[in-house]
Amino acid sequence: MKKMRLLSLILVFTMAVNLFAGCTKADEDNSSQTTVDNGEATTETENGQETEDTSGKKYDGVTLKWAVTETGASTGENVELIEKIKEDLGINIEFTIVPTPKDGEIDRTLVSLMAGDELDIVYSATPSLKIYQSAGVLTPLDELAENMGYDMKEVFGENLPVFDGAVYGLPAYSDIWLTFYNKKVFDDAGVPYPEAEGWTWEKYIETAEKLTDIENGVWGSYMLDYNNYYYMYATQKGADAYKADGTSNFDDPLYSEALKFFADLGNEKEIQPTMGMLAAGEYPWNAFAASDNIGMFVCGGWVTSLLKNHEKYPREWKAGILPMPYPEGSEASTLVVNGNYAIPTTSANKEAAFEAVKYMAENQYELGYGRVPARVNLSDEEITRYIEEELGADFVDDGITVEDFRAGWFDAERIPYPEKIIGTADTSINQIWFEEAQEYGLGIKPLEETMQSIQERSNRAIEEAKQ
Amino acid sequence: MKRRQLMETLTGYMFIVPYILLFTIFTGIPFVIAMGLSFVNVKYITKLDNIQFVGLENFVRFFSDPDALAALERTAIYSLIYVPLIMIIGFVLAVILNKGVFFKKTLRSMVFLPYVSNMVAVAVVFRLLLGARGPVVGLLLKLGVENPPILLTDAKLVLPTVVAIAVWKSVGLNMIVYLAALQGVPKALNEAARIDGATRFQQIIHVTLPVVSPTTFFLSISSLITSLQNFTVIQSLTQGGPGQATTVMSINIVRTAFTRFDTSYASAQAMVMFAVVMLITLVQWRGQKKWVTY
Repeated sequence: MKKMRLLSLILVFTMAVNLFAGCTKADEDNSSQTTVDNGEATTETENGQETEDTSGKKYDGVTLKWAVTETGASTGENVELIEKIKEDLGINIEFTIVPTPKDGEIDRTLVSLMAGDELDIVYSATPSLKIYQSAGVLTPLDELAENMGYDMKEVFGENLPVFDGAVYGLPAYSDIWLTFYNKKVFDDAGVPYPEAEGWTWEKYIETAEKLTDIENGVWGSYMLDYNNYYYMYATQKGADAYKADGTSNFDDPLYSEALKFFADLGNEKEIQPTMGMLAAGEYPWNAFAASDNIGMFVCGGWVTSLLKNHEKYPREWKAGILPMPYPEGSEASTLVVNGNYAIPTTSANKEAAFEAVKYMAENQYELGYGRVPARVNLSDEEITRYIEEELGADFVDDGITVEDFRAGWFDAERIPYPEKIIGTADTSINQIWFEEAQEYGLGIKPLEETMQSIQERSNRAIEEAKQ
Repeated sequence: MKRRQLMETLTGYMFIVPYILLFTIFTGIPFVIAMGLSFVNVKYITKLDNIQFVGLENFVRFFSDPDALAALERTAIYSLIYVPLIMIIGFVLAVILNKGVFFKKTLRSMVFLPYVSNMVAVAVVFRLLLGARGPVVGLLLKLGVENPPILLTDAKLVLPTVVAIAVWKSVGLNMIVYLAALQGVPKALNEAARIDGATRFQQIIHVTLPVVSPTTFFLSISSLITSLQNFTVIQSLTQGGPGQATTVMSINIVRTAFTRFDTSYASAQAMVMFAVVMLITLVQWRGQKKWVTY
């Protein structure tokens, strides 16, 4: 009996240890706010206070906190950047590690900021930045810029994230939409490579029809079923998702035209996979890079990172790039999503943070990671040097020229429209578009009923968001 | 109480302490928080100091929200197909595999294997099988079916298809539990029924089913609860689509909370779902007296 009792106690003890061991592991995994020094020998300064100017650097010795994920903190680019800031501005930047939210989890940085944690710098794509702004955790930058005599518009033009009439961040990178093409598919079909000048959707369709060979599994065109594909044609024709009174504008005929335009590419014109094939997930997001039978792919500039990764995406064909097509009769345009640096309201030293953010947005591209700067004030010489030394180096074998890069990424005349809808209830509206457009594309609902449903549901979402 | 009895009692409690602790931390406390949230106006993008008590507003909103009501309806349809199917198929398989059939152990393993398979992997396989270029469509085309349905993107067929896949994946558990219950059916009862002239089918209806009725009761409740925990199956197979064709309550709740950031409203929906499950379970509990034989 004593043995049984002893065994029982051992078992209970083991279970208890396991329980708390599990908790400890979870605690470690979720350590939410760990401050990591950047490796520099730092001078202890009280955060938020300017130190005496002894080096000609106004904020020399000031320490700022930059919210990044664990991966971000170990990324060479970010580490180099804070070292460069320390060297050039004298500002010491510390990483504040914020756990990456897993699928379905909320953004931990936003939670931190809403809880009042002191942070000086955050980085975010424009749509996510809008969420931060809606939550009231971002500092508008206009006054800071004015006090410093800094013309943000001159440096970043239309790339600035402007919400409710104020600027809330400085963009470092532009993910501009492009047309990527497979030169082998063109060669096999005997179709000459297209030119950037006058590259309209009409020409795109005409070219795709010549390339498509369904029997041999060759699609002339390929696009994904992300929600913004469904309304991009309207966006490029200048349609606004909201009316002046704040309600949705999807009863504008341009939007039904846009939805029909996209669905027809697969369902009617048969130049790309049908909406059914896209909905069934038969063609994944990386299908263009991973296969050799897709002629053209219209998507964000991030696709270049797949094309230059020959290890993961080995290919025997050469790639080409063109600007994004635009509707005939409209001005040349493209879609864009920027990555921005912003200053939270919890920052204790906003002036120093602005100085650092300004520096990061202007200069980070020079670190040599092949990113496309969001600056619009680069000289021709600067752009050419950057393309030759950074962007083009990975695509020499593909025969992509400096002019190809210029036309796609650095055309100041091309109108950049936001990639996704940004405004009241934007996340709900993007979801509504996805659901409804899919129903139309699969023949579940007729076009008129679909557009009416999008309009009504969006207005309801806007009303709910205002409450 | 004797010292020995006291020690045994304490040991018993110590065994259940880990479970109670885990349940409290990961289920009890979140439940209480969710209940609290459903009566306030917390949105993901609401400043914490703006939180206000709104009473039953979120619940009123639920009953006037066509999307949420449609999701509730789809959930009901899902459960109404899932529960009877998994119960009947589980029982039939158990009866068959309880008797002398060839490759009994292999067949049992084959039925149980999907239960322990990863749902995401299962989803990938089914998407390939049922896709426009998959073997199912190919077979139907060869059989002369014009425009064969693509089951996972057909708005009318997608929900039953998803339920069928969920049943295929989980029926192994019901089969195993029924198999265990069948071991407990006294042979003498079946023997007596057989001598009285009962057919095999009559033996199952009049002898086996009443004897395993406590198992049926347990499985009916657990299957109902499983049918409502359908997030993973649907998310990995259809993500709630096409359109909203498979947007059931669990999907709608997650979207409301993490896509639309409407935390309080999502909590209210979760509370409604909880109330529905509780109600059905209570009805089953009360009803068991009439058909469960102990």
